[in-house]
Formats: sequence, structure tokens, C-alpha cells
Amino acid sequence: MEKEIRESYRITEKDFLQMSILRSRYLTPKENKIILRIVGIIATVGGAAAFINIRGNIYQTICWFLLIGVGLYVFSYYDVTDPFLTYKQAQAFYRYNSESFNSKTVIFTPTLFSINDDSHKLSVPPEYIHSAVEGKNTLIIFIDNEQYYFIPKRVLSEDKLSVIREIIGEEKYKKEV
Amino acid sequence: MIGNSLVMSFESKLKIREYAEGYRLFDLRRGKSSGRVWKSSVFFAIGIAMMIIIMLNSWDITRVPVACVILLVCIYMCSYYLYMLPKRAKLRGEHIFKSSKLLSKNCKYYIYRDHFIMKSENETLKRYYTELTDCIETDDIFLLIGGFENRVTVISKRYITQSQRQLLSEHFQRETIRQYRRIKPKRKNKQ
Repeated sequence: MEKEIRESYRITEKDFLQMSILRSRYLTPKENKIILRIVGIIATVGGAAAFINIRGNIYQTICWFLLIGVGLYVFSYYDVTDPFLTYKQAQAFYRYNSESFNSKTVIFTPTLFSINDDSHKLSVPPEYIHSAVEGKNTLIIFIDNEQYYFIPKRVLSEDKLSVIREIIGEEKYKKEV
Repeated sequence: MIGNSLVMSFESKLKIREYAEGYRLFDLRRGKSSGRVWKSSVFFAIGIAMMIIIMLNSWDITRVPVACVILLVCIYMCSYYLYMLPKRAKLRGEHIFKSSKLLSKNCKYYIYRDHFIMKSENETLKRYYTELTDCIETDDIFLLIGGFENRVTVISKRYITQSQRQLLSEHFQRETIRQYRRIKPKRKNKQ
């Protein structure tokens, strides 16, 4: 029996926001997160140690507290600030360009991945797919490191998702926790 | 129908350096490199302030260690915005081109009065000029930015005759008035 998935859907603001946060998290290199965590720890611990050990005037005390604050901010940047900024940017983008979010039709077969709307048609063999990432609410398919398409998971059942996973291939497919 | 007359059509194929240059320009206009001058200016100003603090302390860095650290960070951030980011953007463009099986394909462009269509073996894209945020022309490429997530469309001039380039340039200037820019890129080594 041939496996074919055909779905039509319209992207809502919520879909776009969830996708944007997932995409930002997926595309952020792990090294960036590690570096910021290390810098944050050094700044926080250094500021705390300086506050405890160095007796200075009120300005120095303020500096140490600022250093602790900056350290905490830097440590938690990718957990708090980056998702918040991404959310706000995506929200502004969607509201400004809502008319360009047309209905799309996506087709998955073992030999074809196709996604169409009024202004854009793409039909490629699944081998052209660079990678895919599945989040809690969204499935994003990357054709290269920049060009991507996303499907809200509310239009896909678990069976259809497993078929898509099989077509794309386990080595290219990543499930975000 | 008014508005649907074909202005011109041509075929084109991208090279990696053309896409990388287009992506670098996109990044300068709309990506992480945008606003790099004022961002680096802020760090430069903070760096100058830290230098003054160190100077007022007779250049004794042991008395103002925090100011020294901030000065070093400012120097790094200035060089990051002015030199490292644009280079990384070009490298990223090359990386994207290498990761894509679509960008290197032959494309046929149909330029109409109010929109253009790009057709390749696997993709058809229709974009109205009113959807574009930028239309940038250099010696080698036309760069069109717009649509969903500011998609980058790079048109190589290599396959277009001189008269077609002139016609296309005038057409884009006329139809994308505010978004159009002509840029002459700096070239270190002329081929």
C-alpha cells in the first residue's frame, strides 16, 4: 500500500509563534549556549566573591551587584531573553504580514515532498530535504540551512507523523524535547 | 490585461560566490549585521569611557579591574560588529549554497510589470514587487528580499546581456522605488 499524506492547512498566529521559537532553539549552535553559560557563571561567581571578600565603597558594591546581575542575565539568555525576543519579533512579523500567510497544501510520498500555496510551489524528492525537526506543536522541514517549511502538528496524526519520519529518514530527523 | 505584460524573460544560474555576496548584503540590510555601525559605536563610546576611567587612575589597571575587563569586551564587540560579522555572513551564505540542492539549478525568470516569477525544475515562486523589502543591484547580481521570512532571491547577471541588464535595472528602479539600491561592492582583487 502506497504511503501518501496530503493535508491542507492555514497557518495561525499561534502556529507561527511556536514554530519561530522552535526554529530559533534548533538553529542556535550548542557552543553559543555553552559559552554564554560559562561566561554567566564566571561573572556571577566572580561578582559574588568580590562582594564578599573586597570591602570597598558603595560604588564598588554596586559594581559587584551589577556584575552578578549581568552574569545571571548572560547565563539565562537562551532560556529567557532569546525566546522572548523571538516571540515578540514573530508576533510583529505575523501581524504585519498576515495576508501573506496563505493556505498551504503539503504532500508526502516516498518519492515526493511537495508544498504549495498561491504564490509558491515546491516539489522535490525526499532526498533533497536537508533535515527536519519535530517540536511539541510543530514540524519544521529544512530544504537547506536557510529555506524551511513548517507544518503545525495539529493537522497531523501520530500515524502520519511516523510515515513522514520514515520518508525523511531517521538520520535527518530530530525530535526536540 | 493591464499590469500583466511581460517585460522580459531570461535564464540564470547561480555560482556560490554570487549567492554568498547576495547573502552578505541581505545580512547587512536585514540580518544580524544590520545596524552594525551604531552598535559598534555604542561599544566604542563605552570603551572610550573606560579608557578615561583607567587614565584618571594613572593607568594602574589593578585599581580599576572592572573597567579593564569592560574595555576588553568593548574592543572585542567593536571588532565583532565591524569585521567578524560581515565575514561570517559571507561564509554562512557559502554554507547555505553548499547545503542546498535547489540554489545551483537553472532558473527561468519572467519579469512582469508588477511581479516576477522564478521557475526551476522543482520550484515556482511568484513575488509582487510590493512584497519586497529590498531590491539591491551590484555589478554582478540583483538581490531581491521579501516575502515569507524575508526570502533571499539572487539573480546572476552573467547570463543577461548588457541591454537586458539596463532594461531590468530601469524596471526595478521604476517599480521598487523606495526599496531599490545600487551598490558598488569593494573589490580587493580584480579578476
